Amino acid sequence: MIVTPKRIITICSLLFCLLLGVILVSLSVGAAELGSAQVVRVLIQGAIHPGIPVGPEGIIILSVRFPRILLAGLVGAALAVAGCCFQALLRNPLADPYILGVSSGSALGAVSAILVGLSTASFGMPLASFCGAIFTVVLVFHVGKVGTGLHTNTLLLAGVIISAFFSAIIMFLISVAQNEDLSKIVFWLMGDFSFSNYHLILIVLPYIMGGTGVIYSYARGFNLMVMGEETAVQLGVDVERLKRMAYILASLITAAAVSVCGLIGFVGLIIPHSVRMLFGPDHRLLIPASALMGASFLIGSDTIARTIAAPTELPVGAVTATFGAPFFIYLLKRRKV
Amino acid sequence: MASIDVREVFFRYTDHWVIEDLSLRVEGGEFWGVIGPNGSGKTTLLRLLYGFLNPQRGTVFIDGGELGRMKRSDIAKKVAVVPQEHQINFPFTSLEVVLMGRSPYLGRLQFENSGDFRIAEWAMGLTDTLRFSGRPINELSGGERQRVFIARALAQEPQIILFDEPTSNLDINHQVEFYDLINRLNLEKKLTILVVSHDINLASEYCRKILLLKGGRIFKMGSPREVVAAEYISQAYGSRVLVDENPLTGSPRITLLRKDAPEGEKPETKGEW
Repeated sequence: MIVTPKRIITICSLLFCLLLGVILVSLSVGAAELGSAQVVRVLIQGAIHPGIPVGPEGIIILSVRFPRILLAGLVGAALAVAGCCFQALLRNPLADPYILGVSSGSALGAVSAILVGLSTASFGMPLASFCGAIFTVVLVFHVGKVGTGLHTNTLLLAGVIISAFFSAIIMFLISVAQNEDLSKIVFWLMGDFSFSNYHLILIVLPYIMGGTGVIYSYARGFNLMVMGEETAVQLGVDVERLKRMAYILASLITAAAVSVCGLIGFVGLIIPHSVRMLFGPDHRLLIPASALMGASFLIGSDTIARTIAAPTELPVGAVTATFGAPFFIYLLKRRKV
Repeated sequence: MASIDVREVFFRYTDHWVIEDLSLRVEGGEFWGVIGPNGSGKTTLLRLLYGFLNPQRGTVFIDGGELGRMKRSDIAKKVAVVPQEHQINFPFTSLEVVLMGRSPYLGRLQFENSGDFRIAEWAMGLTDTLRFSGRPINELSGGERQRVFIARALAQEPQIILFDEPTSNLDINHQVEFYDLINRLNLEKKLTILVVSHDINLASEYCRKILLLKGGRIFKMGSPREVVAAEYISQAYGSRVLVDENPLTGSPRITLLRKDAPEGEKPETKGEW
């Protein structure tokens, strides 16, 4: 199916309705079961009288569940968009947002912050993790640069090597960590939304929305890019600029997403891949559809993570893989050969 | 009709010149074949002609405009390239691939309009690819995919089309079909065509002019009769060949000779080297 503005709007509207449904369900389930009518009433009250929520349902929905859902949605969208971007940049549908080392850098930042006691300071962890990620992005960029151009294979190698190096340091840090730090580290490495609040959302929102918007403006360039660099050049694309933009923006939104919740795997790989199987590879549809699907998927996963073994919370990264992998296999099998 | 003018061009990837002091003029509407041994600089020359590579010295002019000063999208409106066979991992359909040929004409956020679709359909009709317009490009056979790429090049509405070893993965039937097609495009659409090829016989049969490269320099250039002579071919490639005439078309024809093949006895093998 050829991608037209009409098709993009139709599919994205449907996916947006799906997202609203997922949010509604997620708001109503948990330790306190609330009916969807109750949820809607509280949301409307909250919208009319912003500020301090009223009553126990108000507090549960507006102060506990809603920020967590918004953050999970934002992170899911960011990781899915970054996944599309890295897959286009490396011309490999199996790439994911962590492939060029952003994750290892942010993990190193976060683990260091936990060990020196920064994790109790407000925004200590996100800041340390973001700095670690950005440091890695710059490092990989400079190692992966050949002359004035970015060579994707060199970039990939640089990412993998630097990633391995940082992982080694993280291993070392874990081996000397105290017990209570250890569980914090493990939760961060597997992803955790239990510290969500509106401030965190407001901090990462501009990075993720801005980055996604600029990435989307290059969508047609990505289509040409995945046909091969020479092809893209001969069809009029400034490939070097496109590669630089894709690398920097996708890394930036990945760094922002990871800094608030830790490493959540699978979203950035499976979502773009599934959307491609469902709606085709055109990035003009792939990017917004992936963002919406990513948001729904991660909100759903996080809902399962906090409810399935209540009162214990599972790490959301474990849930994304457990539920994502079978779904992915189903899509693979369903595809006409 | 657009010409290609290469003036004293030098290019190197690392430290030795891959293209050295090369000057060449291809007139609008001409049909050129570029031949030469591996590493003689054929593909590099092609990449210099559409600005994928920039020469360290010298200048390339396309239709009178200096390539280094033109915008990429303006180059793409004049020059199209049909690439060598390569792997594509993303399942774009044939029609989507052909529509990509319209992208030099589109703004960054603009979608293809009905005119673009008409041009894509016209290009697919010409290359007989409409039958599989909805099939993913990575599921087509080599010959089908090749024709889709030619359709994409045509959708660019270029004046020049460059081909990089277009027939290397095709069986003989598709090789002839391919050359018949571009021959027709050259004659009917007055397209300037330059084909990099390993197949000297096909080049000599179809191309009006042949450029023989060796070591990044022009070894010989002229009509097939002038260039495809045993003397030049065997010197450039370093192998024994026999050159005679195609009895039906009169074009020069080469036959490879094994090392212990007998020396020429028959009168028509006097071209042997």
